[in-house]
Amino acid sequence: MRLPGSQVPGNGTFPACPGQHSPGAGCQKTAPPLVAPGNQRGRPPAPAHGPQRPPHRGSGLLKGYRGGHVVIRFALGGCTNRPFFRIVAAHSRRARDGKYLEQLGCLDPLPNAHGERLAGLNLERLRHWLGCGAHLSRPAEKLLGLAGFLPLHPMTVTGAERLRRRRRAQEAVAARADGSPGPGPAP
Amino acid sequence: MAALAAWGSAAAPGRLSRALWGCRARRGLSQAAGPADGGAAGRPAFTDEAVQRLLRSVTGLDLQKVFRPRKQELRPPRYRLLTEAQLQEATRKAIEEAKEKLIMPPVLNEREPIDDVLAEDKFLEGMETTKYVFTDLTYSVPHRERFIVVREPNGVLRKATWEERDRMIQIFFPKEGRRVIPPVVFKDEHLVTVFQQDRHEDILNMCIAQFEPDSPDYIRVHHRTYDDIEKHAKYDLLRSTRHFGGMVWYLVNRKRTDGLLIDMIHRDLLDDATSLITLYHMLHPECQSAKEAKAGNLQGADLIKVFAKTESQKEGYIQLALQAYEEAMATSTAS
Repeated sequence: MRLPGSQVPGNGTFPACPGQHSPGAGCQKTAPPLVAPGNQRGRPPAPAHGPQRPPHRGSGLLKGYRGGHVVIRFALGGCTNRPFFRIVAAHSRRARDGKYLEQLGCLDPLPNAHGERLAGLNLERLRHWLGCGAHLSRPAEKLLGLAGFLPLHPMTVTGAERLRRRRRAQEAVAARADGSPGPGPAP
Repeated sequence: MAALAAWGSAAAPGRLSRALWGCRARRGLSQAAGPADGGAAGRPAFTDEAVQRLLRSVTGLDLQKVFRPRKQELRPPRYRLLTEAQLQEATRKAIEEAKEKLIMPPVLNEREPIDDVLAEDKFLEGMETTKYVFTDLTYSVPHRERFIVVREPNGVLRKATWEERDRMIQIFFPKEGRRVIPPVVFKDEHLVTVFQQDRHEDILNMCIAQFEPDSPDYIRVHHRTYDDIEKHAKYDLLRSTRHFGGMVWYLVNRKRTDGLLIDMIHRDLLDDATSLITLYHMLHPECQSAKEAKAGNLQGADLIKVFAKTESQKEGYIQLALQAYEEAMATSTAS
């Protein structure tokens, strides 16, 4: 009985090593084992170029994710009852406050002594990341719309209209309640 | 006022900021000199080489005052044994360094206020209660060209005013010696206290560190200081500092040079007095003493006499001072 791998490759016969798909490809391993080295449970080793797992990186410090994209979003920091946002370019699969690629700015949502909410934006790096194909989170889009860097977000406009409608409704209710104070609510 | 002493020592700007002044002042002057040139064609500016030479000669170079001991990190003193030649070399190097320290800060016109609206979105009115200030944090952009915009609660997107700009730039790109909110000492009622303590040089150093040269606060503090010095004739406080040239420029432009002239003659600085009058003639060529001086090609004491007769208000004092000086010269040459 012939052992697998003892055949000369390229003949269209069954593959020399398990896991070889194309008959024309040469065998990389010197001694064709029945079980791949290090794989004690008998699982086939990962293909050299497969979509499922990213290539193995030397240090165990870099986390490998499946899919995902670069996002420009807010990372929350600060203390209790004192939020502070950093505008950050990060992988979408990362934690909100976790490791990011680059900090592109900051936003202080609480007004300062002059009644202003400060936001700093590194527009040059923002343009770079947008050019690299980064997505934007909705609050980031709204902020950039307010800043004038992007056109105004439609939800900003919609939110303003809804607020106005709600206020008008409340005013109408209040006016009606003032106008007819006689008949109170039924007991 | 212990804080003033600390700020006075820390507020001497580094070479980098002075180099920046050079290009900013040139840029600023090229913008400001436009209307000035249109008003009086050929009028000498502060940065003209001839004007600067005169101002530098009037400022003087007192090494003892320039390198006077000031509060710094405590170090044991170093003593060196030098030969005559080495001493001369060290003195020459000290003079070079002193000239660097005496470079005059720029004198610019007051900046025009910014009111530029980028967008008006009326439907945003009522959404927010406070405004947003957006600052561009790109590192390579010079501060004058940085985008700083404000989105008001009524939906208007406008460029930030100069005060807002200065504050934002100090928050995100802090400069040493400058505070986000200017110290209270720069208000008029507190400047009086500073002047009573004769700390004009310190307050001017603080002012240079805190404000931009074309901001109204910078100009106001400088003018108040110069007015106080002229009122009390404390010219010697600023002599051999980098502020003397600016003071002379201010006084000559407003034709209030009499006190300074008398002070110079009292201290036997005839050359400085003639430089002062030459500068006066450069800036006001249509005045009578300028014409007489040019016609007669006068020098030295004669120039001062003509100036005193035609242009000054305190003619008597100047002539008295000149007489005293000449008598002193006569007795010294006699003895």
